Amino acid sequence: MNVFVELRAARLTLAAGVMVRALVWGASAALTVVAGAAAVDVATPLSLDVRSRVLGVAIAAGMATFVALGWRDRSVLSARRVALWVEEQFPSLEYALVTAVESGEPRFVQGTSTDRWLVVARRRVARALRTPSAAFAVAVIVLVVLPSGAVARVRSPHAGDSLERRPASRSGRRNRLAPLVAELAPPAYSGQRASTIDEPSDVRALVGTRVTIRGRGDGASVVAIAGPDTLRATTTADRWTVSLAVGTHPLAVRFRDEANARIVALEPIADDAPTVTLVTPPHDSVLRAATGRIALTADAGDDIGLASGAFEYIVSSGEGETFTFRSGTIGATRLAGKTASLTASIRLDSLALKPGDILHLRAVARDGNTVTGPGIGTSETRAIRIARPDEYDSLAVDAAAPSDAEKGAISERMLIMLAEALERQRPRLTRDTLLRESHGIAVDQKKLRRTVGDIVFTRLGGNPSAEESTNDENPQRAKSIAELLQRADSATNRSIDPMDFRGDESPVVAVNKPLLEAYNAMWDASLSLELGEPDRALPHMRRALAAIQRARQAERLYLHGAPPRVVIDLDKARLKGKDKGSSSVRRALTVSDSADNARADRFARIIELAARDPGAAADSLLLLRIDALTGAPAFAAALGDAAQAMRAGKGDVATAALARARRALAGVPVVHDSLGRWGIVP
Amino acid sequence: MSTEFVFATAQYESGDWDSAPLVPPNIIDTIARYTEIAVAPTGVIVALSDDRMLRYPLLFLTGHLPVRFTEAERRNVRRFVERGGMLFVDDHNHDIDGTFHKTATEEITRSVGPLVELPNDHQLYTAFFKFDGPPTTSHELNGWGDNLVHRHLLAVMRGGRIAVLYSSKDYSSEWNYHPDSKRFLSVDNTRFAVNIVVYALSA
Amino acid sequence: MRSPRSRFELACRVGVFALLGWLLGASVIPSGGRRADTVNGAGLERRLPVWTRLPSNVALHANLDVTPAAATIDWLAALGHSGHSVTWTGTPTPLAVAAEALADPRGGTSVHVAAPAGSSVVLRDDASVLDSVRIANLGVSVTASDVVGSMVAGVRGETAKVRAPDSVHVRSVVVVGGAGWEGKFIVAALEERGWHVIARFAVAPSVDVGQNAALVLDTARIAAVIAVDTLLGRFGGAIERYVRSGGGLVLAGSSSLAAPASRLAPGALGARFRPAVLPADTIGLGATGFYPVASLERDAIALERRTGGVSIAARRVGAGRVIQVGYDDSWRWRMAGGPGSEVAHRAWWSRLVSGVAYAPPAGADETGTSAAPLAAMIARIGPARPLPPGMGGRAPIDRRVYMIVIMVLLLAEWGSRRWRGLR
Repeated sequence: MNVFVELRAARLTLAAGVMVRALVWGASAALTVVAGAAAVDVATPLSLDVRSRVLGVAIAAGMATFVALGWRDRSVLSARRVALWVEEQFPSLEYALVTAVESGEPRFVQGTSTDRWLVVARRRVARALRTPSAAFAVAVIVLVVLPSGAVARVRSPHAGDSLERRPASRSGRRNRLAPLVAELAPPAYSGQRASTIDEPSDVRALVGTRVTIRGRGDGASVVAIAGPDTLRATTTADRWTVSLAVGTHPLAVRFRDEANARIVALEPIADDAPTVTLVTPPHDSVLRAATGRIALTADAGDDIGLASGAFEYIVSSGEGETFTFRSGTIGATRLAGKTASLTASIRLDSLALKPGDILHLRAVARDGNTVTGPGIGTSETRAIRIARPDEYDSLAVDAAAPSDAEKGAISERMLIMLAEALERQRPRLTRDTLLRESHGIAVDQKKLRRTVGDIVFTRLGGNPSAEESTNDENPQRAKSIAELLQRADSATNRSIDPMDFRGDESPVVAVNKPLLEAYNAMWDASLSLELGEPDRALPHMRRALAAIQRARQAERLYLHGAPPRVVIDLDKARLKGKDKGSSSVRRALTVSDSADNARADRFARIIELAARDPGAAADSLLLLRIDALTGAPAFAAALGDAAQAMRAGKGDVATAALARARRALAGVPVVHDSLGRWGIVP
Repeated sequence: MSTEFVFATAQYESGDWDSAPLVPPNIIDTIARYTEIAVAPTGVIVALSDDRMLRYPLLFLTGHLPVRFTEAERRNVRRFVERGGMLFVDDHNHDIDGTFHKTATEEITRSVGPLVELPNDHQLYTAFFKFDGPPTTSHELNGWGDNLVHRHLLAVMRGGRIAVLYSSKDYSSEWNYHPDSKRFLSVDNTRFAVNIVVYALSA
Repeated sequence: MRSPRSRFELACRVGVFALLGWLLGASVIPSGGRRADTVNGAGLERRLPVWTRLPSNVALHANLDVTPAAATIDWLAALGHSGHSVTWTGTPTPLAVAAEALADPRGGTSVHVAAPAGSSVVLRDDASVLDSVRIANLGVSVTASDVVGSMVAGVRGETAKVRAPDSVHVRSVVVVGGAGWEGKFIVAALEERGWHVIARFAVAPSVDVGQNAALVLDTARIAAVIAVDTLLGRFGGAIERYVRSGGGLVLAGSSSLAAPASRLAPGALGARFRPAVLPADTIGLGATGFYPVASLERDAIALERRTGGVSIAARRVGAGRVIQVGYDDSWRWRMAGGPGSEVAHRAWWSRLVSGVAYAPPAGADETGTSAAPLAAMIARIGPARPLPPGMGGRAPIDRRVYMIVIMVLLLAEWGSRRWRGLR
């Protein structure tokens, strides 16, 4: 056979051997990494991060080994080198083969036997493959021997695979409370995905999240104490399960199983109410006329998701003591997402606003919280006032002090409501009862009338009680306004031309005319009430009320300026009251931050425990943290760090975290940088 | 700044805070009549949105219109209450329509916390004069089925003290007259104000 | 002729006997001269066992930068008692620490550390570091509301330790004055802090508001009296008897103008100081003025000075203590101060009352050598002294060396004979 052909065959055989050897070594390296990681994981659980990288590292190691070995032995592709190798195996060639290869002349090896070249090459390959094959086999055996869970955790790591890890020690295998896995299913409205936590000690989740704790083994003896509730585990296929919901308060769930105990803290994340900002109208304003359209826009935002929004309005009508209110909703719409904009508009014409009315506007948004009820966020309120015509002229008239007649208006309104109520109840009342109650209202009406009469006559300079007497049949009583005005006029010697009260004319008539009207109407009303006819009295009473309000309006125009500044003469008034008070007992206030005191005591005891039993101290810190989450969040955060550091055996980190915790709880010590002669300086 | 008691009226943006301008001098007069408490002869008006409202630990708030606090007002009210102040809110509508009541109670709840009924044996009612409960005003209906008789005042409590005292009984109307007119009254209807002030100064 | 081997064996035997004779003689016959052994502080503890075996004629001297531990000092003292001359030189930092329980419902401890001015002291307890302070004058005082275990003060490598004292029983306090904001908020601050307050506010003639408790000024029941104004005069002479028997008195505002207070107050009250510019926004303590203490009594101490004069002064009267506070509207600080002012106001008033409150300690005062280590060392082994002149020379050889040499010589001699085939 052609020497060169044989040589080529040998070269190919050697090259194949090199490839296979590199491949087997590479595979062995990769399998060794996997097996090593799995073995370490059996002894000490590796984190998910680390396990996720193991396959990549294994593949990289295998590739690197394959490439390195292949590169190292690349000389097998060189015919000259292979020829040299053959020369080594067959010294009888005496470099004739190399010469032939270099020169390309086969005559140098004419007659040379090449039968054994391939055999030797194959034997060489077989020998070279022995060691890597053995290594590969060992790696495979190790993988087979290792617990399947351990290999699976490395091969396909995922959250929640803690349960597949079999602890190395027997006591570890008997402990049903380790490992644990927590599966979190947030409430549907949140749109959040479910998640899994391995070895949970502290679970932060949205209120309403369903937390399912799983462990390995038979859960017959596993009990979970969650506050006042005790939950028993259910078992399915060598896995026990306890399920509970995250409430509105932090909770430490204590798991017990025979001699083992474990605490898992549930820390609720509250769903905040939406925040709403009213963009337009941007500020309060006063309008001349109640026409036109007001654009309404608002921005809403929520931490989880919005559900709906709308604009609310309240219309206040009236003034002084008389107000009525109407309310409604505009632009109600469904919302979605964490941010949204609301737009609408309101036609002022549709609200039938009158001068003096005030329109209060605000935006409201609700979130989709179906667990604790929708959170409601509201914006600031804008007030749109419709100006009265008299407000346009010159002065801004401040509200005068309510006159004495103001009080009469209030009382008259109450009397009207009393009479209306009596009228409604009339069918159910006996005649005697009706008369008695009606007479009672009549007495009050008369008193009020007397008061109004006093005001009128006092202003006119007359004797307040001149007109009135208890005897209603007094012939001196003025029966009409004109007659009353006549008397008023004679008392003041003024003209009785009414109404035109501008300019220099006295406002007496203009002010008193409505009061006189009211006076007369009250008289008519009390007559009807005395007869037990509240229905007939009501129109007169309403007329009296209207008249009083007109009188008040008139006064407001004239008694302009700031409300009267009343300065009390203290010396004159001091201890002049008829009644004497009496000594009384005051009750003590409660101690503020008493919860902080209790936490401080527990904290001190935990520090003392840490010297004896760090594990128990770490658990106690976790429980204290749960209790402090609501009232002292900074303290709770520092405790969490301290507990973690204690569990991990990081003393320095734990000490620093404990120092932060005590500062958060007790505050910074008060320091004086010098010693004085007095012990405690404030 | 003097150390005497100064009666302060709260000014807020959304409503008619000044609807009872004679209440302050009337109460000042009443304090002087029955007690030895050092009191300023005039009251002051202070905006809820102004930090200076914290200088008056007893604030009087009234009105007829809807009450909607701005963010600054809400923040100040919260601080005011947490630091020991007492806010006395009176519905000048005496709950005829309910809008002041609804909005004011909503704002109070949102700012500082929920209102609860004040028991009629609370020390407020015996702080100086003895009352069996909140004195009825002449403006309240009584027993006609309109359900407008308010048997209790409402309060937000803090650490055992009244932080917000809420009244639907319309003391604003009852006390809104010139103090000189007291001579016409057989019974001084402002005496309960003494209890409120004495309670605020001692609780 | 002896062979070299025989000579060697003979020399070994002679050497052994010589050494044995030396040892015997040294143990029986006292040596005339004294030697000294000196060690630096770092190696002192390791050297102590060696010193213990040295003959008493050896002077022991240590160069110390820091005070050694209590056990080491005890050992040195024992060596001194056993006849050794024990001396030391060096400059350990003088340091002492003392702790007293606060008379405060929330407990707390006041720690006083004495150390040279300018040095930095780090104070820690069993939980963590409490604080670190640079000393301005004589030492520092630190008031901490929670102390766990023992407190250790460290200055330049020197440490002093003291156990946290047991908390003291806190009695009631009385607040008396006319009804007003200052009285109200003083009571509020103290009650919120946990004090049991018996308040008496005068509202009208013969009309008071207060706790329904009998008011007898007795240190068995009352720790301190806080007077808000001159209503203190109601107590008459009882207040002086109370203070002299150990009770505490806080004279706030203008209360020291009351007749019974005049003999007790640390000083006479001046006219109320009002600042030229009143605060526009937040109000701090004293920002609206105060009553200055115009003239201090001879035995009074000014605790706080500010523009306008002494605002807080204190004095011991008999067995009791009196603090005079010129502020009459600290309530403004609480209501209108910056963030946290209500907490600060509460703590301030509580410290003020703690400063005078009658609160005898519950148990015996525990002081150990570790509270003032340098002083304790000086008390045990004397002050720093150099070695007496003439001391010197090589340190004596450890007797174990002699024994080893004897053993080696004996082995060598025996080995040589055996080599020769002899027994």
